[in-house]
Amino acid sequence: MNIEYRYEFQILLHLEYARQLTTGCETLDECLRGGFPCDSLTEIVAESGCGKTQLCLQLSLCAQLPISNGGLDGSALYLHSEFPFPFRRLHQLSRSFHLSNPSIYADHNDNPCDHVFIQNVHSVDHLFDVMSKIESFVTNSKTRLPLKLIVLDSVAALFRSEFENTPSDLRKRASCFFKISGKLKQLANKFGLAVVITNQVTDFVESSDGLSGLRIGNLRCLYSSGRRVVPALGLAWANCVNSRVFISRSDDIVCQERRDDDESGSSLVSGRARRRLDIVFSPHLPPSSCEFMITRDGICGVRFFLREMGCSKSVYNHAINFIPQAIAFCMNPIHLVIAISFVVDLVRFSHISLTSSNLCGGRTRYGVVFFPALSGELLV
Amino acid sequence: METSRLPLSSSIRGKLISAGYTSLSSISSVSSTDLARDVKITESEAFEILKMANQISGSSSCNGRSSSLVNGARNAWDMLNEEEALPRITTSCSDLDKILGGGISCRDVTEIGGVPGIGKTQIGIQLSVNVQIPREFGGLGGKAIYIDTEGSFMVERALQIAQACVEDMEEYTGYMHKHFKASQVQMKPRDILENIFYFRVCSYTEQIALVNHLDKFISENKDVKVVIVDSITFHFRQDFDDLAQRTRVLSEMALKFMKLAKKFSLAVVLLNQVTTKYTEGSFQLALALGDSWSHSCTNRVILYWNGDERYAYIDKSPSLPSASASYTVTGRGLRNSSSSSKRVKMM
Repeated sequence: MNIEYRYEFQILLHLEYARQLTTGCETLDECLRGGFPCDSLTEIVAESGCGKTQLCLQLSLCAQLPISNGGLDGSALYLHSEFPFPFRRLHQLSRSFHLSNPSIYADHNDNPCDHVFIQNVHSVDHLFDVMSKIESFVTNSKTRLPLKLIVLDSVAALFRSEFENTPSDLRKRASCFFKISGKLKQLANKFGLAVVITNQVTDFVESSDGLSGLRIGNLRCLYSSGRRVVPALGLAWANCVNSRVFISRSDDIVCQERRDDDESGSSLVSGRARRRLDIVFSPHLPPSSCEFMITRDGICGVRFFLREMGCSKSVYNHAINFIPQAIAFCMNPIHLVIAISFVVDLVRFSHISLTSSNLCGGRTRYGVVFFPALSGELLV
Repeated sequence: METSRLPLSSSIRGKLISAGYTSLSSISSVSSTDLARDVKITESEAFEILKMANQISGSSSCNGRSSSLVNGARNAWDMLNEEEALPRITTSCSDLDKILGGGISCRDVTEIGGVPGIGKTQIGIQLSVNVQIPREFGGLGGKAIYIDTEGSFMVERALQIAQACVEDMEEYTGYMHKHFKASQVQMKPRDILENIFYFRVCSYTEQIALVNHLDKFISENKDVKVVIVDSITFHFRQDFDDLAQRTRVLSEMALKFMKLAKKFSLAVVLLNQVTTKYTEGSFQLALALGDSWSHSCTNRVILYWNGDERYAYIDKSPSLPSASASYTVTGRGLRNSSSSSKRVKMM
């Protein structure tokens, strides 16, 4: 019998920490402490239109970055069960990815799309079939970059039609979940892959047995577009993943104002919904969240965005006007802390002064908010 | 020499003594086959010797308190004394320790279950660090085996908790410097990680093989004081059509854990998932693996959310009253939920 075991220090010495795959966005990476971990299964839960697929496409490209830049120096396998696959969008993203990272492809006559493998999956059985072939795909592939990322987008689509809501079918379904997750974790462990799975949400329906409202993870309940939602596939599936993140979107727009007094004249400025990523549970991350939005070049954190764009003063002035509302909107102290740090950032980067009128609305259910970090700026 | 009291031929007696069997208890504790091999006599002769030795030792000490007709039986008083002397592994959360009677008890199999994200893995990592707290600090000074079936063990998280644990010990020596001048904290977070033996299993066959191998592994690493399985369930919820077979395999595994716990007096902590159980037309929450599994652990702790706080509830224990306590998971590991008492309870 040959059982391998590893001492912790060997892991520490040779691999350091579990390698992380960058999301390509500073703000998200900060929230995820470096990105999506390898040898681990991360689930992204969101309703449609929140940016699950956008994030996954971006991850597939970021996997090609060298390790020194937070990538995995590898290729990606994208299993999609939601049709059609957004080829045009992938192409668009890959072009800007290529432009911003020309050095990776300089020595080779290829482009980012060459390292994203797409496979459609149309049923659970088909998925099992595909998964059994991944191993030989990894070991026999002749491509320049080894496979380092598997994306399954989305798992819910596979199960939504095939199973009935009877106990025996639910049991069969749960067994499938564990089989999928077991196989993917096995692959992840064997080849050091990062595995990202997306999942849909269903509307929360109050029911008599009271289990549909079962709290899982850091957030008591999940809200997206103002509705209360729960991740699809239930408790059994929640047991199958290592980490779960939730993306929600609120209908308030980040920078719609730019349309009126747009100084840079760029065409990017259409109403851009603010999206928010929350860590629901994870063995290595504290409860935290961040906000981002989706631009032509991919996903971008809100804070990072404002800094990068070098926004005109008027944009900041507009943003400042929203502070009281934003703060009053804060549901819990954590959000408040984030809001405050956002304001601090905003003021630091724009070098404009807050007036007391900006702050008079900073009255929340937790009392009036002070900005001790800004006292210097306030004196201006 | 007790062996000389046996009515044996002098040659056999000589062989026995030269092979090291000088006392009756040393003879009666081996099997006839082993005895025959060691002393180089036939098995039937060895069997006769064993019979005689048992008769004599039985009659000579039948009025003694520790007498036993059946090999290995002990009385409850001794067991109680022994059990009270057994150290317990602190959870770093004194409220939780209190309801557990001081911590996770050695020699027992403890099952901990809860919904995803409640902190099962955090408890597992915390215990694998805390078992290494040296004896001077009221710990066990042992090592840990961490069997990871889900891939949730994160080294960076273990390092964080280990660092916090070392810091707490240093703070503690600061308070008690008069008594413990000599015992500066020697441990480094790195040492703590070195003493966690990590196994990653990717299928249930691997899991069964590993559990069978543990006996040998622990005999070679006697310092192991806790075995954590995170989670026992994962591989057994896939691919098992024959539930009766699953039950058999699982109960065999549970017996092995029980045996390990008793043999090496170590704590076995099995983390379990929750599932919904369909009874009388409605769904109820229950720990996974079914009713027969619930018999296989000595203690059972269920973790649940109560409002915004995490709670642990003792569902089953032969020695502890059922009670619940709150805890939080912080950056430094498990702690009391009231933020005031942050220091680890050491003694």
